[in-house]
Amino acid sequence: MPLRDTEAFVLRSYTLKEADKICVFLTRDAGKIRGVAHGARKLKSKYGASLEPFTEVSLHYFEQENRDLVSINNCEIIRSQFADTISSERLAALHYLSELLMEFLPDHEPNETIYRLVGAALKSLRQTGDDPSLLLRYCEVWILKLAGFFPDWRRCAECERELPMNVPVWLSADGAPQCANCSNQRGDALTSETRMLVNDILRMPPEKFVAQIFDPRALTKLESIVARLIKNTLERELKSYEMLGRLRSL
Amino acid sequence: MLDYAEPVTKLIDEFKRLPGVGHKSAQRLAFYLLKATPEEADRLIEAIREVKEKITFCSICNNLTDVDPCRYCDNPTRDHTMICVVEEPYNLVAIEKTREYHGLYHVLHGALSPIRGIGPDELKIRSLIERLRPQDDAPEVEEVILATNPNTEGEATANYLSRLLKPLGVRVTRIGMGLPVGSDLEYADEVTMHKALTNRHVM
Ligand SMILES: [Zn+2]
Ligand SMILES: [Zn+2]
Repeated sequence: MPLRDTEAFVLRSYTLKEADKICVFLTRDAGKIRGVAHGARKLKSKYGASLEPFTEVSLHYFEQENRDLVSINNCEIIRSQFADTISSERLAALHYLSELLMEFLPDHEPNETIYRLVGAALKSLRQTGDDPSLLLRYCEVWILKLAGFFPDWRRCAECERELPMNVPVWLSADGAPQCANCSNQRGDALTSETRMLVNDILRMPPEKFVAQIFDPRALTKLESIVARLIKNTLERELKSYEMLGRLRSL
Repeated sequence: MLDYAEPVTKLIDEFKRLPGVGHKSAQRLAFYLLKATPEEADRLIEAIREVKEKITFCSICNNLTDVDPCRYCDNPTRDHTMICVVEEPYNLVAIEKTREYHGLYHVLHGALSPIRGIGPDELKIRSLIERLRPQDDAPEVEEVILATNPNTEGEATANYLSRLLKPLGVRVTRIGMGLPVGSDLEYADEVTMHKALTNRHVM
């Protein structure tokens, strides 16, 4: 059983038996993995606050032969979300982000870009106060794109013609961008504001993006486009998505 | 599995539904009962039947009880100006064990957890707010102690409740977070240590 160490974000933890926890980690070196933390539910557990959602940890674990589940040897906090006040809006944002990553990332596939994205997004979450919606739009687009589910809006999916900003674009029912010809101008018409918004997401770091002011209609539009993409891909909504709205209206 | 007679398999399957019970433990429990005397088995059956028949939730505080209102809510010697809010009925037991608290309780039956689809409407929050409104026959509630778990979900729930309750003019407090008694500073993680430092008090 080789001992591995890597940096990781805790995505979620479940209770297992009386005293143990199963945790899902997004690791820098091995992608998404699941591990058992023995005794983590005990009051004097050596894990302390390290297994709380989105804690960045230095993780030491054993791979177990022929088993998907790794055995956690040690887990030290690098950065914790718990030091800040956790409002219900913030909890909803963290859970939504965690659910997105759990659903859209394959297991055991390292992805440095995703890892860095999560780190930067958590830093920006501090900037956004109690309204993390801009940051969530940012993360949705990036996670879906890196997982291969966000289509390239710069090209018609049908005829592959380039679609510059001044040319109208329609989205088909499955979210594919089409030119006027291929779509027969039917489907979901994209405004240039919505396209600019996605452009900005793809070229700006999150801390810069969340400091901008955007057309609220474009933001609502993007939110609904992404929600539909997620629903089409998973054949269901994310559980935490509805809760985002319910906790936002407080 | 095919090796066992069908009633045994059925019993094992029922045990496996219980929280924290895997296949091996379920098997062990089933074989224990197979060897037990009929009287022992009957006692277990009767105990299960009795809790299902007699135990309900208190209509005031949502605690598990065999009388309604429960023995806390109905007890005139307890301090009716204080309500301690906990996530689960067994959390209340932990607080009672201290013998330090003599007020009333309110059981939320969970904590906010968006990923599990648990929002404010899924918790017993509305009935808590009802209890804070002045009532003719009861003393006014002066303090609400938020004793939800010291983890992310418990903290978010406490913050949510505090924002909701403070405008009602009640004193809202949160249980202290920090180091477990009998441990050693050397082994404390920095978040726990940070909480212990922020919650320090003058001596
Ligand atoms: Zn085309
Ligand atoms: Zn009661």
